[in-house]
Amino acid sequence: MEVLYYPGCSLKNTYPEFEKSTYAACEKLGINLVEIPEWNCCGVVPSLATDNVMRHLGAVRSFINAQEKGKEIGTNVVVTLCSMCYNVLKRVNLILKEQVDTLKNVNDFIDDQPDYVPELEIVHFLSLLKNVGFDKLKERIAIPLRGLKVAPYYSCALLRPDRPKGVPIDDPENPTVIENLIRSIGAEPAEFPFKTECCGNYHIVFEPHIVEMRTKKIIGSARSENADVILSPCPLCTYNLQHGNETLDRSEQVPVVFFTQLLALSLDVKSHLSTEIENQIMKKIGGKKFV
Amino acid sequence: MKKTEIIEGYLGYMRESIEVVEKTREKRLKETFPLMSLEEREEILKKFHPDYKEEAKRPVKVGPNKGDLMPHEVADLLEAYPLAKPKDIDLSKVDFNVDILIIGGGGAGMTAALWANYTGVDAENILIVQKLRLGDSNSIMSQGGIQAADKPNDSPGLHYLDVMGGGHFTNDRKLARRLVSDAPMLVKWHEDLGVIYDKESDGTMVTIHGGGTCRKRMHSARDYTGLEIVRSLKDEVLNKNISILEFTSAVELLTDEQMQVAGAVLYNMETQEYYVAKAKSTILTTGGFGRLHIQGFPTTNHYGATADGIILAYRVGAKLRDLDAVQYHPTGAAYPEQIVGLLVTEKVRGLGAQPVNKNGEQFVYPREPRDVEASAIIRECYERNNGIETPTGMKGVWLDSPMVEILQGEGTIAKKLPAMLRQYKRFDIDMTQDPILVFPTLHFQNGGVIVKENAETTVQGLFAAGEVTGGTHGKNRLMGNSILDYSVFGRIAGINAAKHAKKAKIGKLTLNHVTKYKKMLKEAGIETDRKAPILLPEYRGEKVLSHTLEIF
Amino acid sequence: MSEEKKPMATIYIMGKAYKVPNTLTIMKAIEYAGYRFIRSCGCRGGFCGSCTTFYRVKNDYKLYVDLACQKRVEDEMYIVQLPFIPAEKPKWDLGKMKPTTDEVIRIFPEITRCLSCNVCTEACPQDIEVMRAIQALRRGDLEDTVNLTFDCISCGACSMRCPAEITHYQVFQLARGLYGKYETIPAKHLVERVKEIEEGSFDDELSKLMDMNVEKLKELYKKREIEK
Repeated sequence: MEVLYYPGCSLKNTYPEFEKSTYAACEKLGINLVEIPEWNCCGVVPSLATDNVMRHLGAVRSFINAQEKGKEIGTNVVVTLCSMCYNVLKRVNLILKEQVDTLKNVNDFIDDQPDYVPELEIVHFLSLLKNVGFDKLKERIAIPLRGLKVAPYYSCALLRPDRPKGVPIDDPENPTVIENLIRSIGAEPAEFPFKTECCGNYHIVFEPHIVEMRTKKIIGSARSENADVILSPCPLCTYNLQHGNETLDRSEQVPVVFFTQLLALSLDVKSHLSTEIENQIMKKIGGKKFV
Repeated sequence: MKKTEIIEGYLGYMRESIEVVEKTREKRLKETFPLMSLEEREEILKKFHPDYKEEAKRPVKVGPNKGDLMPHEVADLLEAYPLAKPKDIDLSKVDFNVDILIIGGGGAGMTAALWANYTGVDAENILIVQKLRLGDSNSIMSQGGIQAADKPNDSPGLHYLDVMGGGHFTNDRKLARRLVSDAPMLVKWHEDLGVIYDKESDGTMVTIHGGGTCRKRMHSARDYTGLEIVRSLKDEVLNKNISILEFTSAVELLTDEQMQVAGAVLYNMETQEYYVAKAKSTILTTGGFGRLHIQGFPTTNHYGATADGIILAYRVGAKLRDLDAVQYHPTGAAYPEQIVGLLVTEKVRGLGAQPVNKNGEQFVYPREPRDVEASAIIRECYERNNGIETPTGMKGVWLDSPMVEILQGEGTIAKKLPAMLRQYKRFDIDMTQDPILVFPTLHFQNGGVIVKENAETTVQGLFAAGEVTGGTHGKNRLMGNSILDYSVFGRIAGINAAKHAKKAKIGKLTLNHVTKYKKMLKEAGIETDRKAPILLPEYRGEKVLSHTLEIF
Repeated sequence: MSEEKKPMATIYIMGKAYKVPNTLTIMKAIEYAGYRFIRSCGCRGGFCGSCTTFYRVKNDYKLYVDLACQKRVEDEMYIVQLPFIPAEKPKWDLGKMKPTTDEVIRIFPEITRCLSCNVCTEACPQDIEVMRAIQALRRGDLEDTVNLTFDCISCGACSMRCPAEITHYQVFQLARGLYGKYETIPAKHLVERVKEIEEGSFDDELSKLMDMNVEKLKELYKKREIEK
């Protein structure tokens, strides 16, 4: 019998008797141990470590700066808009709350700043609005967008994975927070089944056809519910959906805007929408182009 | 405290003197030491300025300036033999054939290259030859600023007066006029290139006094003015793809049979290979001579400041002037040992710091022109014995830097002199709390190759700009006029060299002028092993040098 | 103090031991030991960034970087110099660019690989917060990058240590160039003065001064009013 053999460092250095006795026995038993040429140390310590610190540094440094600023202004709530950033910050913060060893390691590594004490709460803007209360929000609306049908697109980053526990901002299968926002600004949510489907994320770089395939379905689904506009909570999803729109005929396209832009429009403040889209919306709700 | 104990960078006995300085500070904040009259200036220079020491100079025995007095160190190089024998150089094989050859890649050289390019010469027809890396030069080290009469209460005429007065009225008037007239234009050009000058919130340039100025017209970029300008110039030169040869020196100019300059013999410092570079116009921008350590002074200059350009020019017959006018910057660091000789910018005095002796007394108006200020410090240390002596035997006076924080507001030094603050902090000295020790250091070559207003030397085909030239500053340059000098005349040299290159016709390349020069040396009875240019100073340890073998 | 009495230090120049007076900077110590610089020596004053030196000290595994012309030798120091930083300089035309952090990232996309590990800051001999300056670009704050990196002398120490292989000094030069050209307010008085000079407003004044004899010039000079 011929087998490949991986020795490991200790057998070659500190405990050669372990290997030598094995070779001797194998020879008697007819087993040929073929040592792997160029084997590396298996890297047991870094490999088994669950506290890969390097990849969290950007987030943790941001937490530390937030923590210090938070002390000044008296809050521990950090709000984000981009759903990808939300996902990363939320997960890293939960990991640091759970894994005391990881927290200690990362604090030791960052020796040029104060230690991070994981007491920040990472909150997505939609959750902030929900906590304020959508009925309270409704009272502040100046231009209810009546007559506008709005498709709520969640992106996946706001809802998954639920590991560590606590990442999703709403029910991952059937969330409702964006629909509630839509109603509070006077518009009608277009319930469409693809609202939590992934747009294809970073595949846009090397395999854009995947993004095209997925976003076409998402846009098509929204359009089949007669949506006038799709709300997006994520810059990457917006980029991908706009890419998807470009592959469709004019009549099949649905404009994509950030959820805060419609919110701003309904509050009668600067929405930074393109003139074209703003005019489309105002026409739909029967309003004049406002200055 | 023990006299030799080190407390926050300073030895015990120095601390004692510092305490005296602190005690007199409040009184001194309200006092202005009187300015010297022109007659007093002449007197102090004659008695104490190193230039006036008769034993330090001698008449040079050969060449266009035969009989003129020069410091020994310079005369030694002019009375020296060439590095390469003409018969060892094969001139039939030309390695580089360009419109414009620029010898020296500092502020002047890069400015000339850019303006030649703007005037229409292709990047590949301009060759900058640089002994070290592009930008390594004295230009990169200037700290304080650049003068330009761009404020409503100022005029080029007032700037001209300051230039002439600082130069003891010996300046070439045409060059001085050009210097002050073009100044605002060059500052504007820098602005367009992206140089970040210190400005008020509305864009107005922040300007202060320098030594010998009657208006606040010194523009600066913190105390990195030289670095900020040079790194912007260097970036632009690289962006434009102008050809550069680094770690390559020019060891001899070339002439043709009409005796016009036709390029140079170049030398790769690393491979020891020589190249023949033919050029329609040659611009000398080789800078100063600080590393000759005239009269044994330490220097502020960079490693390559060895007067190469003067020697090259002299050998083709170019006339020089004012080489016996050496500028000693009044305030070079005198302590600690590691930074002796390095520049302590005049800006420190411009911001209000006073020179003070060991007894805490002022002894000179803080902003006399440099030669006068330097002489006063030398007198204070060596005649009046009011200086502080350091463990290396160096003497110095205090420059009361904490006054800057008091007069201009706390944090001024961190904002306006960050480089110096850091330099001293490395050695545990906090210049916002304690004064610093200074003594004159060899700084600038006031004289040099004679040029006309169009940057042409007295030899056809050879242009020159920057510190290597003479006449603009007369016998003494004011602060802020050297960056101005290389900017104004670098630009003029680039433009005119480009114009000249359009119609220049170069004949057969020769080194006849070198053969002639050697003959001249022999006829003058000069027997010596000395070779010139020296290219780099010799700093290897004595012990090693006395035991070297030249094997390969 | 005579040679024999000076306190000495042992330094290892590329592995070879030499005894040098312990007050010398690394640069002077290398020359004392008999080496003549062609590379790795420029202004000798801390401004040009040519003398970047890496070193370790006995019993310390950490790798340090500093400028040879400013750093004093330490006993049992192991040194090597960086004569050149391997990096191509990308060419740009400031006149054709916008003053945005996006433009800088477009030319140097590797900036997006920054992990925030901070090794660059630890390497910097000028005490620049290098990582903070790179992150300022990620934050869209060009001005912050400029203010943080004004003291940069392009020594390249940061770039040699960076796991993301960013050439920070080149990035900062571009940031400062864009900022200087577009984001600083042009000085109005400068524009006006250049125009005045072009139009000849000072020709008379200067001609008079040019024609004046030395004695009269000296009088004028003495009478100058010095701005307070």
